Amino acid sequence: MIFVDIFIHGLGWASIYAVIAVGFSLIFSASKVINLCQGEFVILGGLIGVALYSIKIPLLFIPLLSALVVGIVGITLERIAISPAKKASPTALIIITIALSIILKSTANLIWGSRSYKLPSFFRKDFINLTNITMDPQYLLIMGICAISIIILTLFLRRTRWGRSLRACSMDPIGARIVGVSPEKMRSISFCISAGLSGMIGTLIAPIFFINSDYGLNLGLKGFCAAILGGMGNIPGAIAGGFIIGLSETMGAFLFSTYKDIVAPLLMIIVLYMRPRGIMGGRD
Amino acid sequence: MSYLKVLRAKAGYGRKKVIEGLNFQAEKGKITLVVGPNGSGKSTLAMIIAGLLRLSEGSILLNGEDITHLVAEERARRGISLVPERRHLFSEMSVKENLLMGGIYLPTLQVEKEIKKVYRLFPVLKMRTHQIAGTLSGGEQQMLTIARALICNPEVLILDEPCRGISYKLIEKILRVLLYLKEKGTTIILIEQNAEVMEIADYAYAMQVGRVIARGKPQKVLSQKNIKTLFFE
Repeated sequence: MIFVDIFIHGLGWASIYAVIAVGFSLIFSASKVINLCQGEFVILGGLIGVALYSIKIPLLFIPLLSALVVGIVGITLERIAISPAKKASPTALIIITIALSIILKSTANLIWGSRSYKLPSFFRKDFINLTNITMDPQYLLIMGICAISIIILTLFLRRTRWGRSLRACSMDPIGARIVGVSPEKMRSISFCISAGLSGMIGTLIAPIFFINSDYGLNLGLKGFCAAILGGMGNIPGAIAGGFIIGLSETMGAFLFSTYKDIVAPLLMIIVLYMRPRGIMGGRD
Repeated sequence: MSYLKVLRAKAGYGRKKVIEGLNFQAEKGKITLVVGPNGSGKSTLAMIIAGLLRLSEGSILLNGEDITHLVAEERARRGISLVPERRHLFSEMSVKENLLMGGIYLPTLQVEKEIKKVYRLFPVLKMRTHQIAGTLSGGEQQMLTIARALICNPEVLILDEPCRGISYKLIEKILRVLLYLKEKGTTIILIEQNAEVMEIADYAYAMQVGRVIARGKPQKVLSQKNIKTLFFE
């Protein structure tokens, strides 16, 4: 039974990495920008969640409100820092996002300090029993919300004008401009959605994970590894990558907990040796 | 009356100037042909009109309004539609999705109506509506590129070598569509090297190394000895 417990725990973290990786892939496919402040968006979401809870906002509304605030932060940073760098090389853009990540982390440190925060569980019971398996319902909630978010995102990309325009920009930016789509606007939208999703994830993990302004880099790197593993720019690949990283990390932690943080980069290196474009072959 | 004017245009890629001091006009409801050998700046002309390439000097007027500083997407919304030489289809989207993209800024009902119209012009696209664009044959992809450009009911339609590498039957089909659009009042700029398309044009420009070397009625322009030598021999 212990393996089932670990598996469910792993699925929860896998869902989290999958959503962070989807954020990376969405921005990359719309604009070819690798946004390395994705992890800071997660932490910012968690900290905003804590702040909202402290002013007595019901827990149920906090993920959505956090997503909204972090989404606005995402689009603002894109407008201020990425958009003016029109002629910047991909490397320069990566460096800009690293700088943004440091700014976000320092700002969070100024506002919330270096202590760790936690939100109460979204459920009254800390554990539930299902056929002899004991599990934290928060993990089930995380899995459910991550799955719903990915389904909604997929429908958005396939069925709406903005979604189709985002896909069009990823396939052929010149073709997109010819039909009247602005790649710059689509990049802003991709930043807003990715930051919003990460912000929401931040509040969902706050009851199971101590939120501290220093943890963004670690979360972001795991999401990045998942995105690379699946094939950067490929959303199903990002989901698959998130699940591979999340499950193997949890299993790894069970077997040798000290080394759990090396699982994600190690897997990424192995996959990149065998399949340089990731397991689902994202675009260059 | 000139609907679209390009005045003293200078443009190029980096330091390399492809077009220098070019003047060009297209009349409303007429087909204006642009011919020239490879490297003469025909495609560059199409790109500067569509806004994909910025002018370093000169201006572009659309119905008297200066559109020089508008980006490509804003020009598309003003009714300038381009059928590019390299097609630039959304290869992983279906035929229907590509057509929907053609009318991305129009109301849904109008787009659906326009899609029905282009299906009447190109029935094969209706049969392939769910097929992924990248899996279509070259001719079908060309039809789709033209159909996508027609969805927004363009005021100005620029076609960059639409008959290149496709069958004679399809060329005839495309020419029929162009004549239909001309009757509807669409301003058409046709960039071509194919002799068969020249008879449908109302006016012609011949270009060489970024400059206009002759202009006038197509038969007159194309019968000039130096033009014949340049393009057909």
